[in-house]
Amino acid sequence: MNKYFSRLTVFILICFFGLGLGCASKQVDIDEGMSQEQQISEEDKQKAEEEKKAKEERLKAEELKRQQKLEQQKKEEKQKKEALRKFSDVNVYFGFDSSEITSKARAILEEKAAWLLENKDVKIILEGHCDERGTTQYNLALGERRAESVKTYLVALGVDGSRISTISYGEERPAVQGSGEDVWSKNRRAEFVIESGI
Amino acid sequence: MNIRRLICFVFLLVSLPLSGFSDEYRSLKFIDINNPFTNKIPIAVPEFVALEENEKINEILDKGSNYLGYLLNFTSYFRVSDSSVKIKEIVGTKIDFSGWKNKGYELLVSSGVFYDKNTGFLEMEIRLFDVFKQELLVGKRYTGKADDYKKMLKRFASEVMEKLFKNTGLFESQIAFVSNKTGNKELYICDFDGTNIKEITNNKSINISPSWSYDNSYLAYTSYKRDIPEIFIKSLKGKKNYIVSKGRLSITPSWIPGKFSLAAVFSIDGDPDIYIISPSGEILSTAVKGYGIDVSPAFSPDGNKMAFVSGRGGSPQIYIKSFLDNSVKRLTFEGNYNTSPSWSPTGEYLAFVGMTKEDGINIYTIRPDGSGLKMITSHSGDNEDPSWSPDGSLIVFSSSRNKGKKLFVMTRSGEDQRQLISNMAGNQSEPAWSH
Repeated sequence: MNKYFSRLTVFILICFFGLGLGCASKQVDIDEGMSQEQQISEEDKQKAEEEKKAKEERLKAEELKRQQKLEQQKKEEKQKKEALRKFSDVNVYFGFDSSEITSKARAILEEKAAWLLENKDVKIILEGHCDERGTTQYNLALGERRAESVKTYLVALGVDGSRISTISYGEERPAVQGSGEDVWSKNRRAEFVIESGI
Repeated sequence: MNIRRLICFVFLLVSLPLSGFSDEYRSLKFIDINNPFTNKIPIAVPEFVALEENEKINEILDKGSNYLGYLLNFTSYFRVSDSSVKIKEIVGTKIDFSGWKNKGYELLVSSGVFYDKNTGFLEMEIRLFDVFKQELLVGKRYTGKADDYKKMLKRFASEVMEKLFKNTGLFESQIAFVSNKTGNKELYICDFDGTNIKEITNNKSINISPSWSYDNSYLAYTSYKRDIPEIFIKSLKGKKNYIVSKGRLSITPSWIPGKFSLAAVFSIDGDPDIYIISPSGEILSTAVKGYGIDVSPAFSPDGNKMAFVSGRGGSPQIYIKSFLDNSVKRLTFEGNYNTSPSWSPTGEYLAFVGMTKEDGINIYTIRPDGSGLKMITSHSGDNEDPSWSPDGSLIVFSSSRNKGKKLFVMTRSGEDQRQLISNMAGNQSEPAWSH
């Protein structure tokens, strides 16, 4: 018991002495041995806290990066979706009894061709439609010509023709019901339907 | 007894010419052959006479004379008396012709009806007289089941048309047409007068452009049943059906008169052209090939010529291809939009649809040499899809003059335009009259 006590005393003294040497420039309260210990742990704590902060910041940064990446992905996905939506929702329109590609249609078809070249697995169906005027039979043939002239234009822009099939609906599937040039002009159209590859 | 019953059960209809009257026909002065519809022939169809009283007969007496009057009236050749007119004697020697003449009639029908209660058989004697010459033109006796009295009267009406106008009439004919009453365009068939509508397709896709084979045993049409437009050939006699499909567009079938082959349009190299095919889909020859749309083949009754629509001249116009010398001639020059040619069964005229800014969409007739262009509908909505009755006297067409698109009938020169079907929902279009 005694022996153990004296060894502890020596150990403590050595510790005091050693610390006293090591921290000669510091104001050391010799009377308060515990407060020195406290000081040490506070330093550690600070360090740890700094580390923690750094870690947190790092994590935060990582999270932010992740978020940004996610957002970027989302944005890209959205853009992709938007491009897809645009591809399938934007029609090309024709004049009365015409299957000629207008200059307005040309700009649209250039975008569509670019999209098709980017999305190489996509196969599409081109639907040719007519307004209600004229006869059922002639309009079936006219719808076919409209789909074919769009196909020809896309192929000329580099799209592989085997990815494009056509179908004519003549006047059977109007986009807008009713009569009058406003309605008719919206029904004289080619529609772009994704068959596969998305 | 058993055999009698069997005979009653099986439809039996016998017609025998009535003897004892001159059957020689001399052409009636009062018929204007060029346009028989403007001066209609006044004809009296008095109530039929019972040869022996009984209840069943009383029903047929009134209905019978009304139905015969209805049939004759439908042709547009006659002005038929109202049903209240009565006659006592039915045999020529006993009829007071001067009385009928004084009332302004030129023709008179008399009929005596006998009903056998035991057999359920009806016997009908019907005669057509020339009131002016006091002479019998047609005399027939029909025997059959009582419920078949309409069939007997249709036969008699056909005899009348044959006698007076040298054609067998149209009372046995049918009309195929398209209706979207279910929400989808499906094919239907009705009798010549729009009654007795029967469903032909029910596949919830798009079914259009019916064409009758020359013997009326097949109906060819365009259907999207398998997603793309293809030609379906349906036997109406329970025989083999066919589907013809070339590329992405197979449309507008049209049977060749007298042959088991047809013309149809395929877009084989991205341009709709007209080919001659067998029902099994073999391409027999190329009928018309050229830049732009070629569509809607329609044959002359002898099959030597084919009218069609082509966009080769910059606007849709009707052309005629001759298979005799392979020539192609343009038929229509007026207006910028002429389509839907239909050749009359007599070969004298073509009906077609023309669209102009001034008059809208109307039906025209023209002679195959390009002369005699005549607009036969006007100021009555869009009028489209003309098809001739088998005797060449009437044209069935679709019109938007009332609400929606409905089927109408008129004479070949545009008289008596009337709605054919009024009890069907939705739009009706593309009527095709059988041969």
